[in-house]
Amino acid sequence: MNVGPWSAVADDATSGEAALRSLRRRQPGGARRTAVLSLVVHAESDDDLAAVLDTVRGLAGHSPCRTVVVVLPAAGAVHGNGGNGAGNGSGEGDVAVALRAVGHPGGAVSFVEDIVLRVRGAAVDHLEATVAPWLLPGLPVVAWTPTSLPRRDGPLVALADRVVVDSERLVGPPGPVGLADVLALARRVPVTDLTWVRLEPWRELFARLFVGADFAPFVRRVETVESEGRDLLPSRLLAGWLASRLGLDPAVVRVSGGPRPALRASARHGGRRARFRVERVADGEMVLAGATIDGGPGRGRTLRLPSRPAAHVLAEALTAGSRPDGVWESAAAAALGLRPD
Amino acid sequence: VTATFTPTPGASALMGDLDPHGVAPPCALVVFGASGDLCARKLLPALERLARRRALPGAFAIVGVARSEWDDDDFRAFARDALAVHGDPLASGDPTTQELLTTLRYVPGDYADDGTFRRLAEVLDDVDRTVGTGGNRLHYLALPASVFPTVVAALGRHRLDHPPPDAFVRLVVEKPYGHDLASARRLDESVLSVFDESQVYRIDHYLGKETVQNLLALRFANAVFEPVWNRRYVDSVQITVAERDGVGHRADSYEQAGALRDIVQNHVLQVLALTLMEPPISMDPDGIRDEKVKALRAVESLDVHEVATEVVRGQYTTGWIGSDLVPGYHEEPGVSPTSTTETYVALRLLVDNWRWAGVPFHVRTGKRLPKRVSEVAIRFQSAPHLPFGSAQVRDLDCDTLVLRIQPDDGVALVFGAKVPGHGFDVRSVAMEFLYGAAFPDEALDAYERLLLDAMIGDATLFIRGDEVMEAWRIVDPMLQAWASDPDETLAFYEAGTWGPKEADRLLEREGRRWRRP
Repeated sequence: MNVGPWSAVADDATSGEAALRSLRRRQPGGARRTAVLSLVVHAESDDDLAAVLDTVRGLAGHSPCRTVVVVLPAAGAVHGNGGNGAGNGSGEGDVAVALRAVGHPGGAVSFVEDIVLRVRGAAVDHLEATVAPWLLPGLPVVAWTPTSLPRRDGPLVALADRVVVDSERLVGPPGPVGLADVLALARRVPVTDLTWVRLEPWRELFARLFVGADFAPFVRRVETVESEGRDLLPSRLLAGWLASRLGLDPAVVRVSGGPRPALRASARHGGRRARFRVERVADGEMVLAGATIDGGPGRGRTLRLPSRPAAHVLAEALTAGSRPDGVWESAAAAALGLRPD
Repeated sequence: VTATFTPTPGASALMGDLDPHGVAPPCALVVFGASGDLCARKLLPALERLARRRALPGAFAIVGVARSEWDDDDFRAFARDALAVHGDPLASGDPTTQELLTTLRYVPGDYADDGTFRRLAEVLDDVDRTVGTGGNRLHYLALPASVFPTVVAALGRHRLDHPPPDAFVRLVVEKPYGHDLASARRLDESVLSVFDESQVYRIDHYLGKETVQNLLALRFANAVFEPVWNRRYVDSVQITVAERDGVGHRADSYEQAGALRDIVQNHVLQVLALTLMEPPISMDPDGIRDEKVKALRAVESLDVHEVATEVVRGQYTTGWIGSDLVPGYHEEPGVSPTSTTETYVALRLLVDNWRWAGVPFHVRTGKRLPKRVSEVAIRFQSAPHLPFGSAQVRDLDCDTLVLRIQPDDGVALVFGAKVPGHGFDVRSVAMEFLYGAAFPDEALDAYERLLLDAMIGDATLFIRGDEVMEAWRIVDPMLQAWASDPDETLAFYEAGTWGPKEADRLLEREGRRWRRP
């Protein structure tokens, strides 16, 4: 259900907020706003904007927030050279606001707001001042840059309590930046990496293989690790995670391309060898998670692990607190030292 | 960037950030009463959801025990049918569900027959060998309480209460835990003659509800509420657990129980304890349960002679709920036409401690009430002086903080606000917060949460023996008073109303009234 939208050509937050209030009042009983944060998104083009709005609309049922989308070519705002935006120098911008109703189980309805700011001219030079009035008071600010890495001293980082990026889309080749750049950003502001969020079920399945009296002793005795996948960055991050958590020498960790993602480890304890693996069994949704000890118990499970919609992944990222993610940072740092075959 | 690492010691090195609450270790879940309703409606669907969330242990088996002469395949067919009706419709044919079904084993037999437990021990040994469950057992008694002592004694005789080194054996017991104080004590003696209290997990699914746990978060994570959470600011507290449904298919057990045993002795008194309790030193199981017991101990015992004035029991008659004409309790299938079982209870409790002295706690629960709703309403005292004319505050009620447990769990604050305009009329308005809107991701359902906690060994949301006894101590005088004269003490209310007139008078006599939930 979409209520409104109201739109205007202005960069005046006061009139925009008034319009949102008016829209809320039109709903029977007054539209209830439930938000847990402000999400500031940078879109570099109208194509980006469409994709962002699509994701954000899927997000509303999972993580209610006020979304402020800033439409601005990357050179102006995020990597930003200041003052070189594509505007006419007038300092004007377009603002469109929309109020959307979100239905919940049990019939309850809450309302979320989208604000799209097309920044032009002199406003490019003071983006912080343009965005700040739209932020919900007292709630955390998360900046999401789907197609670029924000500049460490740029306005979005200055505004945000946390930045969400997707290293798989950014880190080259062919992406424009290195994993080290993402880690460097994390030294300035807590970073949540969507690639890391997507890997969580893999990490969880793999870690659980070591739970239980039979298998737990092997976790400190891992001798080799193999991480495979078509996409090398996720494979490197998984391998880096194991290397960092278990204190492994990079020489025993192998990262390679392969048709299907797989994470395997071999360990030796008490004279017995154990093998642990999580691997996609076919080009589908199923994965096999199994562990075997030579001459001892073994277990294996086939589980559904579908790829999740972008909105779900983003929603999960948004539920993370503002603390730095030390496990990701260690994994990414370790991944830097791993060279794919 | 320098890659320097300090590996986390121990087997949890990889779990670290993934599941701080804990991971279920390998175990065999033994369900006694496996062919019954509870297993079909609640346990199997909860286990299916846990499997789909990938929360079940890597090495896991369900061993069903019941009198039905089934084999493993029959039990799997029963489970498949149960999940088709009560499970997740999206999971039909899902490999995860199919794999869960393959973990099912079945032991037929009478609970009084030692052969049943010998066969169970053999199956469990086999499961340990083939699946790697490591001797960990979770015995779940999904049985009538009358059978508990027989099963518990047999578990003891066959050493199925004793874990091998580095393993665990736990016993999950469903309500009702006894039918009065004396029977609860006898039951507890028989359970504790075999199991240690630390092994016993007494389940009340109400405690598995997110909002019941949110009551703790609201009280103890926010500095703003606790200073006014006492007799100085609180006028009274109302706890409502209303059901729209009638007795349904539960006539047999409900006829034996009634609303007092079915709802008040467990769910309501647990919610009351969480409302009354002092801040715990820590959120560990005994930290919370120690405070809950202290709170329940402070609840006054009614004298048997006071029951008539402080407690109202009622039974529904034919009436309209929405556009449906529903039968009275006596006309329900399976109910005796002369039954005096109460389907409604309203009562007034006082609490003898520094924090709550003099504050009445009004509790009501019933079937066939206008809607399904459970809530705790903290009603605050009026402002000491209102600088308005009486006409200006005609529509002003006392400030109320409402914690809604179901449905639409959330928090509402009712307070006075000026009506816009030239005058200065003040009326009550509600500011509502819905947990489901702020945190819309699907939370664990109560049975999922409690099963997982029992596997992990977190007893926080289970009821300790001394809590159960305190709860029975509070309701026992009511049971005694009603047993002596069941007809005389029963009031009637039309289905679709908020209960008998006598319940209204219980509050009216002290100048209060029930809040409309």
